[in-house]
Amino acid sequence: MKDLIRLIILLISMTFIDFRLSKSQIFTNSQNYFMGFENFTNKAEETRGQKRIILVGGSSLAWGISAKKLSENLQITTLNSGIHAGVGYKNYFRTIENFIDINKDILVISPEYEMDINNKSIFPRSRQFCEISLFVLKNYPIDCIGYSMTKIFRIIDLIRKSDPLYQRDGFNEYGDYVLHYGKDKVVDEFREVCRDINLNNLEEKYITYWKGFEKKGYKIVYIPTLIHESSCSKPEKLKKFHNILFSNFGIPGFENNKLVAGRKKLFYGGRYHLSEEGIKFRTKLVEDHLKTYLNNNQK
Amino acid sequence: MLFTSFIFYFFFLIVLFSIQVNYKIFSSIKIQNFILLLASYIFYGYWDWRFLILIIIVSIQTFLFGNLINKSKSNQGKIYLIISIIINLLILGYFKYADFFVNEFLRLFNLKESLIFSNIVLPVGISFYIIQSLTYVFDIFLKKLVPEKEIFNYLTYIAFFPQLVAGPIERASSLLPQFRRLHRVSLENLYLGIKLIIIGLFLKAFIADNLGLVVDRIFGNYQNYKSGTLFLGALGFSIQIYGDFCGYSLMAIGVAKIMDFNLMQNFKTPYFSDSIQDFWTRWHISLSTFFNDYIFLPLALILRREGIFGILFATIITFTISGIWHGANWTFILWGILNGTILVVQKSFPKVITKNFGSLTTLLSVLILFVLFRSESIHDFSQYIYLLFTTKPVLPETGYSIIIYTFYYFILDLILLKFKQTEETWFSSKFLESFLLALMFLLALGSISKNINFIYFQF
Repeated sequence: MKDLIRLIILLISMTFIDFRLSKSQIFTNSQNYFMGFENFTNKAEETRGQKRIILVGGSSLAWGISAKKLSENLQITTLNSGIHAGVGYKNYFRTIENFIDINKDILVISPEYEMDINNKSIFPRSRQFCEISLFVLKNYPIDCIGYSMTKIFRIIDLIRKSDPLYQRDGFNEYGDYVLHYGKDKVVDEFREVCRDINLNNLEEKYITYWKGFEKKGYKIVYIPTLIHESSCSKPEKLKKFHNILFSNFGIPGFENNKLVAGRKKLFYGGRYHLSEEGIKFRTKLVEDHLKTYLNNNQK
Repeated sequence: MLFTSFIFYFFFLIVLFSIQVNYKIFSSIKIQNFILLLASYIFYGYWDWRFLILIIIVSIQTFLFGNLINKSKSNQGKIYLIISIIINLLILGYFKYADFFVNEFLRLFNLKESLIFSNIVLPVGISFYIIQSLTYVFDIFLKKLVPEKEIFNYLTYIAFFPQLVAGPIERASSLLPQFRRLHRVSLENLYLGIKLIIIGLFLKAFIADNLGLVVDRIFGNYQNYKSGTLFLGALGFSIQIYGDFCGYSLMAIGVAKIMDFNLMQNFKTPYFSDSIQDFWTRWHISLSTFFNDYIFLPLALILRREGIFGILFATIITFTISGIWHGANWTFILWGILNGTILVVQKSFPKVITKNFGSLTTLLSVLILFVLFRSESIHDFSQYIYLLFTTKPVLPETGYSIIIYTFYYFILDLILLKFKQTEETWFSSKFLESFLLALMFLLALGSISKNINFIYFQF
């Protein structure tokens, strides 16, 4: 009995230390890419009460759509909350829920095609989610207990210089990643995307998940992610994925959306990240979608 | 349901509560085993309920054959034993090897690849519970075991959830009798169990999973790295697979311990071995002893007239089968053959070399063999090894975190496990032990990822 009580007391004490560590400044240095999420939260606070469009997803949004351009052209504040697909689709909403107005905001989802939809966990923690939750949002969610202490014991996280491309300062005030604007990083071979698309659980898990929010009154719109044509060996699978999403959250009139692009120069170093030119191209497509959506809803 | 998931502990609490209620109120072994059987089937069915049918078929079939073998005279018993072995191997073969062997056969004759078996899903844990079932019929045939009378006890023995999906592979003589007594949750066992679960969780989540992130990167792009990084990749995977599997085994033993069941130790600091033979008495012990008792010894007995060559042949055949057990891929088969060959070669070394360099040569052999284990093909393995020994610089370009995790592993294995049994108190100060456990638990919690999985589940 004594052993157990001692262990429990020490566990509680350690958790408290971990909690205090998460509030310290040691993890919030200027190189921490995830701290760029602050730009989204700051702008979200600043524009609270306004009608807004919120882009919800992974880095294919931060590196793929210009929320700034959309804000200018649509005359509605658009914010980009997509920072990393590793956050996990069940966690995207957890990171933004405190900034959303159910009555005014429109949530635009644009999932990466190989996202993990099999996860059965109630608390689907991921490192990326904890980075944002603990060090940007200053929350202490149950699934991030121990994360701060682990970072210290991993040592390498504290001393490693981050990739010069993935910088906290690379985001603009709307949450778009702009550090690579004006630069090219064309790759010869894109990684395969379509092989790992999981269609089996898409309807049952992913769609059900977002439908749950729709039932609560959130406005949810789907816009497809753009990939290079050579990264998809099974375009019919991609089309099915799109059709399922589209039939639930799509904007009528855009059934035959552009899912792949042929020009390598539109992409920046990978299958989801776009160059400045690619971002312009995709933003225009998204703008057309959203204009139609907004017009339809005004009527 | 993984030992690292929240849902498992919720489920486990309900099981513990039920066992305790039974102990206090009904004191019935039948009810207790019913609870355990139901829990085990829920645990297994959580992955895919369809495969429950398979485990029930395997259990009932071996239970019936066990009784038939016991009642028969030796020749007839042998026939029943062979039938049971064939049924089990056919089931295993269909799910695990059909696709591989059919296509290798077609490739041999330059025929088109067949997709008939390509969609077969491998039921989790099938290799483990089939082997456990086989030991039961073997032991009855060898008169080492009397068949179980209560079918519920036997079904629970095969499906016992702590060790169902990745071992330790328990012999009936050790685990079955434990279902014939009443179990309760004691505070002493609770502490010991939690201690084992924490060490296992730490090995799995903090060491193995964090290493896995770096190791995957190195193995995924090994062509782009040079010898220093490739060495770290090999080292990292060796520690990763140990942390992953030993961690799982410890958690399994801990979960069983809390319910007052004793499972066998599956690892004994294998990287401190002084020969490959020694390594295999410390790594996945429950499987090694199975291969030793049911394949190597009978083979060696049959080949005893061939003298030393008979023993060597039996060794290589045993390891080859062990390789095939691990998976349907030429890499595993070669891995088994090389293990057997190195063991034989090491045995031929003069004693002075074995004494002074045994540990080093064993460690290096194990690292290289694990590169083969991790490689997708023999071509990848040969390329990896070629680059490992021929490229410069020796200083790694990346992967330094592997050194850090290796250091943590070394501390844990050397101080805590090599010199102290996990069930003993590690230090004279109990406070220090609890402090370390609390720290390890928090570090493990902080490392658990949503994509967590166990390497040995694929076998």
